[in-house]
Amino acid sequence: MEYVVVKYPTERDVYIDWKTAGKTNHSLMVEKGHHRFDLGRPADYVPDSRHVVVENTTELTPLILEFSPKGVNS
Amino acid sequence: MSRWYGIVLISWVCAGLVGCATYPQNPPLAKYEPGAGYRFNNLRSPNNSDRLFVILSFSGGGTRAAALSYGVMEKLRDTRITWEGRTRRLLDEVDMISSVSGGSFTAAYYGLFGDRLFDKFEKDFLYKNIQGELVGLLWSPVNWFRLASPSFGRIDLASELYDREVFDGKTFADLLRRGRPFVLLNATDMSMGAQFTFEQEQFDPLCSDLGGVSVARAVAASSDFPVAFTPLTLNNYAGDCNFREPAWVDQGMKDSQSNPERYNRARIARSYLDSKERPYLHLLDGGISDNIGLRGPLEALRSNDPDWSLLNKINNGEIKKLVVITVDAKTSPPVKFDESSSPPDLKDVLETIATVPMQNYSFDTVELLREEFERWAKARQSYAGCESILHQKCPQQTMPFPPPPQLGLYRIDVGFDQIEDDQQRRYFQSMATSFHLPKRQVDDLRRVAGQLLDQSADFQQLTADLR
Repeated sequence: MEYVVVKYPTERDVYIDWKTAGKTNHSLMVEKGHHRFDLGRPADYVPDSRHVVVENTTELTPLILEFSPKGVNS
Repeated sequence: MSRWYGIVLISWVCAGLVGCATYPQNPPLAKYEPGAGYRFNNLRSPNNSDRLFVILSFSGGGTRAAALSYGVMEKLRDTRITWEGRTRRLLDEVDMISSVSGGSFTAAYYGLFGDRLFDKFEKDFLYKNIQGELVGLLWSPVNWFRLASPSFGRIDLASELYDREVFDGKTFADLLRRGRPFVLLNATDMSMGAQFTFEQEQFDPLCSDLGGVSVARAVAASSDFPVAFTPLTLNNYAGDCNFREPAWVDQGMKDSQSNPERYNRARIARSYLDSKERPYLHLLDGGISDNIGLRGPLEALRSNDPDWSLLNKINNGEIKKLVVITVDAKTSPPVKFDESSSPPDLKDVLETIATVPMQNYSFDTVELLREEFERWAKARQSYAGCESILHQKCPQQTMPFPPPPQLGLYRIDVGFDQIEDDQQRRYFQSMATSFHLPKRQVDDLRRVAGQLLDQSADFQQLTADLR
């Protein structure tokens, strides 16, 4: 089992491979392998999506994926 | 002259019987609708909370498996719990039953008829000589002609019998209307050697509407013991319904190195899309790919990919307590061949080939579930340990990231291996695999199921926590 934390200033839905799979800023359990991460609507964040290979994480060293509101860093 | 007419008439009727005999075809799907059909998310559950999520898995083993799983259902019916301020039966909190072969009769019957299970299942199945009725069908001359057809096999005869005698002609559309629990009847796809589950998610790539398939047919496929029955055929209409492949398949196809198990699932899912290469599928007993019915739930607990991924539900905080009850009617009859220097005979060799790999695989599957539960528990302990040290050394600091999901876990095994008394254990482990058992054995199986639940430490903990 792998662990991912998707960071965003507010709580939003997290989609893994187009399926709702948890909330931002929580530790999410994810199957090892290639995944696409998105946030729920509205699509007012950057980047549009993150494509990553999730592996070699633990509950104490999760993969951190950061999204930002559009216009803050773009 | 009249004799000639008689011969011509009989020949004509016989030819008609052969020509007409064909398996009932699974209907095509006019248009792919990812939100429609027999799926977990479409099953209503007005009185069943996801926060307490109960999964049952029923193994194969003919009437022995059906009776043992029935005994578990009786015990769950009689177990009162209090959850979120409401007192009810533990049975009412069952969300999912995944089954193979003999266990599929109990699972499907409860899914279709609810509490009628406790009134009529004994008469409709458990105490009935289904085996005798199946053999009787083969003695009917009409069936000889039907079986001569290349598109009608012994499994189709069995499916008709189950449909008529046990399942009242009900379909998956009826099962959908009943609501929870989600019943997963598992067979084996012969060419891929993979589990094939009767749920709409599995029928989508075939462009077929599971709603029009009889439940009896799924149970027949799930209990399609090789050689005794012919494989069960399904039509593949892939390409005719605007099916959109789920996104995970494309991602999984990249995982041949990073996650071969996921890659294999993606490869199998994609194999159904080629209806020119695979215009038909042939199914055998679910026990060949998973004789304990636990692989589907295990995958849903370890992967974000299935429609009904439990991992996603846990991540979303929808599940607070997870209960998995595994009912395994595995036997291990005493063997005599090690008492002699002569090599075991062909019957012993064939029995070993037919049962040992399945039993070893079932053992591994249960172990995988145990390891998964232990990993989750250790992850939470390890995080809590670090947090505690951090608070001692640097009281002002907080952990840089949140804890893994919190979850109460209960893993309950019901199987003859857990019987402590040697004589009693040997008695159950020596029972035959058949669709007909003496009434006394059926009653003993029902009784021991409740005893095994009572003696399970996790079942005791669960009932204590839900008082």
